[in-house]
Amino acid sequence: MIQGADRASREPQFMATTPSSTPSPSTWKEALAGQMDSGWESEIDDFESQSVLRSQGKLDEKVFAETRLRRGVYGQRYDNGKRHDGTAERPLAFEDRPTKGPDTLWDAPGMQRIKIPFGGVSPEQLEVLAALSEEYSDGILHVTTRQDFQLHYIHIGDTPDLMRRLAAVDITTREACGNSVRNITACPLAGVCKTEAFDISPYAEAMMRFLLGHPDVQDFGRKFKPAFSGCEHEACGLVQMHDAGYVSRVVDGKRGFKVVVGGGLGPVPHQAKVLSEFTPEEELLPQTQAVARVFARLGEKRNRGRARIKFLVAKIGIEEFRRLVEEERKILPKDERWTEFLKDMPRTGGDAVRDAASLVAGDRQEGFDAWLATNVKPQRQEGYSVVTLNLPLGDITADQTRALVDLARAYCGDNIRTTVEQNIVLRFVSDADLPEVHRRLDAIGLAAPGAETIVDVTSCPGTDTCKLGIAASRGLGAELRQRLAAKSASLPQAVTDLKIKISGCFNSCGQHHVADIGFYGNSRKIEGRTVPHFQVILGGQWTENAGSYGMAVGSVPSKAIPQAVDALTDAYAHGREGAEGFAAWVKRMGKRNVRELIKPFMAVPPYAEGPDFYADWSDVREFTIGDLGVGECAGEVVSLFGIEVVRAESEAFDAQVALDDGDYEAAEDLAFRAMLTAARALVRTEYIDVTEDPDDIVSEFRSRFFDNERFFDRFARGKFGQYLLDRHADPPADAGRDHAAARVEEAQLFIEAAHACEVRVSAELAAGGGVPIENPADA
Amino acid sequence: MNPQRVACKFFVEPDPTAPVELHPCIGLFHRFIQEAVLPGLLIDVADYTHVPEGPGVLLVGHDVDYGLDLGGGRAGLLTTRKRLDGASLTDALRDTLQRGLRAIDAIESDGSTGLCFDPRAVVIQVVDRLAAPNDEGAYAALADEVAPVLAALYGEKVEVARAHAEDSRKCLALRATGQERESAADLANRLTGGEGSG
Ligand code: HEM
Ligand code: SF4
Repeated sequence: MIQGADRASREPQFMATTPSSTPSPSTWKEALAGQMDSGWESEIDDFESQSVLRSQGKLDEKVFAETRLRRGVYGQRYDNGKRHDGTAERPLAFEDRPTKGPDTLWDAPGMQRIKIPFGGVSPEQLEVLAALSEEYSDGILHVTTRQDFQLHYIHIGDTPDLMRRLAAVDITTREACGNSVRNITACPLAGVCKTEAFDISPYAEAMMRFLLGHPDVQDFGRKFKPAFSGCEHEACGLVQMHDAGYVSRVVDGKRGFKVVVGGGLGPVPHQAKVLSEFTPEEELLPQTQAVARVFARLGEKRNRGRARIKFLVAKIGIEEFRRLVEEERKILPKDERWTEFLKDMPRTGGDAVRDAASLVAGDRQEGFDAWLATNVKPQRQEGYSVVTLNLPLGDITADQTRALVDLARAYCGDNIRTTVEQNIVLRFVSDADLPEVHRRLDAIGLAAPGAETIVDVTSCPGTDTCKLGIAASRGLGAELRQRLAAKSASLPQAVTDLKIKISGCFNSCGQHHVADIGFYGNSRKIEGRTVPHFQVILGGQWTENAGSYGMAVGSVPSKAIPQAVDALTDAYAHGREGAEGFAAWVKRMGKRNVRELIKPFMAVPPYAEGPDFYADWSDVREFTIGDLGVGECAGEVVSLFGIEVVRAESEAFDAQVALDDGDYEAAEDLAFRAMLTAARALVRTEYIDVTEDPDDIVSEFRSRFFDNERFFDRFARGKFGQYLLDRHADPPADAGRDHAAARVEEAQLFIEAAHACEVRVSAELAAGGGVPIENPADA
Repeated sequence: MNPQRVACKFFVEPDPTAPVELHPCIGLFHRFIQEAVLPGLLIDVADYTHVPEGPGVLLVGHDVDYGLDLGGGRAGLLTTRKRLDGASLTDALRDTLQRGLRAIDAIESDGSTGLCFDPRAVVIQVVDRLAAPNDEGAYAALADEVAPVLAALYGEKVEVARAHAEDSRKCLALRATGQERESAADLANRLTGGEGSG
């Protein structure tokens, strides 16, 4: 969608999808030579050369993994060559070739993430994306929770051509993953919204261009996600949950931004803090550059679990952070690009292709009114509307995409955007055209009503394709969508207006923290079998830019979630007072009472009575977490410890919630469990087969890390480790508030100490000392 | 023509446009993996039943994907041969058709999905816009090149027509229709070893 004057010369040719020059080029590289940004072109060539080197075993696997992740080329589930087929774990017999990263087989299918800054995408770009989905993937374009597209089941060998074809239409995958600046998201209504101060899209676009590949954003310990919002009180860009957020403001007739930093989801969600109430527009880029430098310099590097900017801001405090940014700003060498874009503001919105006109009575297809009520929003520009396509789980086929392109060309031109709710919006649709647009969308299966309502469930990839997935978030999402759509006509409005968001694990890629009803996948052992569950998170706030997070109320088996949703929504519909919102209702009810509502669904029947509970949605295999892999959520591969310790953090978080809620016994117990999980994670770096029995964990922890003082630090010595040993030796008979509060505090300190210990131990190992990992399988 | 991908789709009968219940195919495809029912490396099952006229249920393999596909509003088994890396179109197509027919035979013999297919007609797609743009010239070359394979499959009286001509952005495609009703297994056997390819 990028149509700035500087890019006019690179306007996509139809060549990009269908080469027809003579003599016929035999490669995409030849076919598209000169049609790509020259910098991007040579980067892709380099990436291709590195792939070749790696495939010949001439480049280190970790170096190559880092390179490919920076280009958005991710691993996918089962790419370690193992898969549980429901009867046993079996090897996937790929050819024996050099890996594409640690434990990541060359030929195993992977995922390609494609960055779409502020969600803006043009018809030409969509045509290319559709073609790529057919030629390299499975014919599906998937819209992510950060306005990107993803293609799944991609072979690494196809990625350079895929990138070239994208580059020829001005799309890059660079820094779609890795410890760098990820996609810059923005409210999809920017430019047409009634409540915005001004259109933030050109600023988001300028920032993306400025930061892409910038030397100051290459040395982060972890990813950095910016978001733009046009106003403060709607959901808009969800800036409060972002590493950096920008809210447009006009002060004394001057444009600028309220800037927040240090928000983020993940297992431990943080709300962003205000860095500046008003940053004038010409300071937007230099200030962000200064933030990047401070983050790169002081952010945690070794301990991935602590490396997001949220931990830095929490650690040093926002005042100190602000001071450092101001200091840094003073010494930044001047860069013309800081203000250049203001003179020649990038054009980010296309022109309307139809005249504004009112919707008049007339011939309308069945379903039009319901669709109009939920999927169409009037724009600030009189006579135009925004039409939302309620994509099921963010998926759209290549055929649908091409038909959508034709429709867009006729009715809205370039004005297409993806949304964080995994939808697509068409902007500048003339009101008079709405019946015809509805008819044409309906003909291609894209007129499902209920956009942004309870039926429009958001979900991360989960166990379908994600290596870290614990439960089938998409399977559950599809099931809920189908059930809720079937009864949508009879749902009270208050229920219709709720949002459901699902993540396959605690990492929260599905943004469950900011939904009315959120879920994240976990599992429970029942009679020796593992049963997929979802933790229920209630009362997150979507408006106020994701202004507060939901509260965990308990885990329900996956197969009972639909009933739990019914129970919750019924109770809310009948119990709300006046116009009380869901979050307020949850708060008033209190955790204990809400938990009572889902309690009847928490039990798991014995296998013989309910075998269905032991398989996940959209799957028939008996459930296992044996397929959990090592995730690639950033520039480097996450260690086993990294994965396991976040589980401890998540338990500590739940403990805090329980404490706040007055459930002291649960808080005390969860806090103890969090320490055990962290201790086990540490033990497993050396002894992979340690059981989950607390006695074993504590005994292994004591002999491997405590008695020899490896857990000790210079100041606190063994104090934090002692917390676990004491609690294990002497459980409280009856946990009151003080006990529980102390335990929650101890758990946090213990987890910090475990992190620090792991860093020391891995440094020792790297230096050649340390204890080798004991794995009987290797013995 | 040396495309990277070719695909063929055989449609369900009696009416490929009637709604089909695809959920039983999830279990079926997992069983195909467990029991190695189809040749080659099979990896996983993807459920796209929530997508209107989408890929339905997909059995993802290393070299070949099998999908109980709803594309174009017509249910059928779409078999996609991937990363052909220089294989000739005729060899690739012969292999793809044969795999598709064997998969149909396996699905019908299993019986649990209740799906039946009409092997008398097939749509062949060349899923590679560089090697095969969707235009008249490429279609003529395609029809010429695959004629021996189609003759081997359906005999000399096979009818061949261009498909997807209405939209040059779609993949180059043709539809072949045979005269006689024969079983999928018999048709698959005819493609073995290139007999009858003259
Ligand atoms: C420890 C590893 C990971 C962590 C902590 C993590 C965390 C997150 C968080 C917090 C979000 C975003 C919500 C937001 O800020 O808007 C997100 C986005 C996302 N994550 Fe993850 N994630 C991890 C690994 C993965 C993996 C392995 C996958 C699957 C391949 C994945 C798929 C996604 C997707 C599809 C999105 C939306 C993304 C986008 O377009 O940028 N994540 N992740
Ligand atoms: S939330 Fe978990 S399962 Fe879902 S995509 Fe993120 S890491 Fe994967």
